[in-house]
Amino acid sequence: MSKKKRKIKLGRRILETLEIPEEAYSDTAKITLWGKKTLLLEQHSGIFECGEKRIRLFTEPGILRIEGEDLVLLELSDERLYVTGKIESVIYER
Amino acid sequence: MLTGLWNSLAGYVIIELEGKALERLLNRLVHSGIEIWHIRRTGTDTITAYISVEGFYALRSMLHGQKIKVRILQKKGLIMRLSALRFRKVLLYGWVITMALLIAASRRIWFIEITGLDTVKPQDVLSVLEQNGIREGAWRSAVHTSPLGNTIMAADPRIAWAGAVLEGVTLKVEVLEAGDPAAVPDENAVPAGIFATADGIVTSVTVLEGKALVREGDAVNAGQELITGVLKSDETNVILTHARGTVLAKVIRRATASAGPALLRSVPEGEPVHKTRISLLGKSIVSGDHTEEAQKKTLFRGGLRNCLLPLTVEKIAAYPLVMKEIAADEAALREESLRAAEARMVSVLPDGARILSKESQTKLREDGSMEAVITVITEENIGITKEIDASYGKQPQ
Repeated sequence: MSKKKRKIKLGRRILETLEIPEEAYSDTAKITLWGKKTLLLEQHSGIFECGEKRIRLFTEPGILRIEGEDLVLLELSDERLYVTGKIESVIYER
Repeated sequence: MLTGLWNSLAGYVIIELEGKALERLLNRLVHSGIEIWHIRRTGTDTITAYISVEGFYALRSMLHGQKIKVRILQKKGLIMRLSALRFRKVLLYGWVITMALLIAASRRIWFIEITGLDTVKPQDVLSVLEQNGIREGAWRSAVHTSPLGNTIMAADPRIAWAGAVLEGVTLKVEVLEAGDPAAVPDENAVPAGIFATADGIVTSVTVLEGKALVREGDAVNAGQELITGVLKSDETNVILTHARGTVLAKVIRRATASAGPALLRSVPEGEPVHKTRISLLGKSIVSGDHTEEAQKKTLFRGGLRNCLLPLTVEKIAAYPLVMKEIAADEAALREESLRAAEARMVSVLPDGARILSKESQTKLREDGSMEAVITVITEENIGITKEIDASYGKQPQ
């Protein structure tokens, strides 16, 4: 194990011991879904594909695929984006 | 929500982007900090999106050398609407003139409100204001509100205090009228005292001259002296004066009246008189004697309706009315007796009496008549001035 990875792991363990919520220190994407109509994605890395039935987004864990109908990127900024429409599935691609 | 409001004010455009790898362009726009929202795929190579005006100009410069076309579909927002009006010069001049007129009008006084007047007439105050150059249409800058109150006070001795304030285009003048002038002893006045006209409980005593013999909460009887005109002094022994003042008291008053068993009513009697009434355009012509005091019964009605000139013809039987005593039911007797009792009560209430409570009771007598009793509690001035003996308390010579 490299020195850098060990340092990260140690830092994470300290934060976990202190019971600090992960979203406070992690860069991992956070997905919030309101019913089947609105999805909020924080900490994204860009758009991979934007279609009416499928939107694929770059995130730290991988490509996030949102499938549905009449999908619209309602708000788009560096930090977060809103997707609206009839959302049918949200999955991470392998 | 605020972003949406700002965009609708500052303006935005709905664009269509056409080309390959549009997602890459969107990522570049986001990284450049250009606001773009409501992105929707409309075709294989096209998307529509909303973009701010500044963002649109930045986008055009970013598209140089790329095979992506941009097209404006719609312009939105207040700025866009206003810029569309920039060639309508008459409208623009109209706006400018209207605004100029509004600004000019707001520098003048258009309304004068005077409050607190009772005996002083508003015209008196307005004439004082006019003498000082203040009228509807006068410049606001010409009005100095601080000395205005003093000017109004000085102009009319009935005004104890006056103040003025400007609120927009309204000049508000508040006036406080002076009360009764202070008692000035009149040497020629006949010595008098104030006596109670009715039994009651005193609620307030105001003495202008003389000496109060009762105070708030005292129960007094009719004829009792309330404010005396006999003042005793150690030096002069007795001074007689004309007592002046007001004594308010709660007084219970009752009025009784009865009605029935028969009531006088107008009833139709005798043979009817047959008449014909013709109505055209809301005006009626009646044949025969035009007697008002008759009960009418329509025997026939016909005519032309729903046409340009609606015409109605009626056949009426008019029965003459005569006053007759007829047996009345309980409700009618109650109504009549209460009406009579109220009329009696109104006739005995003094001027300025304030009714605090009222109670009505009715009772059916054995002979079939109805008796009504109305009881009211009033607050009224029970004092009446009566002369007193001028020789009272004089020392024998």
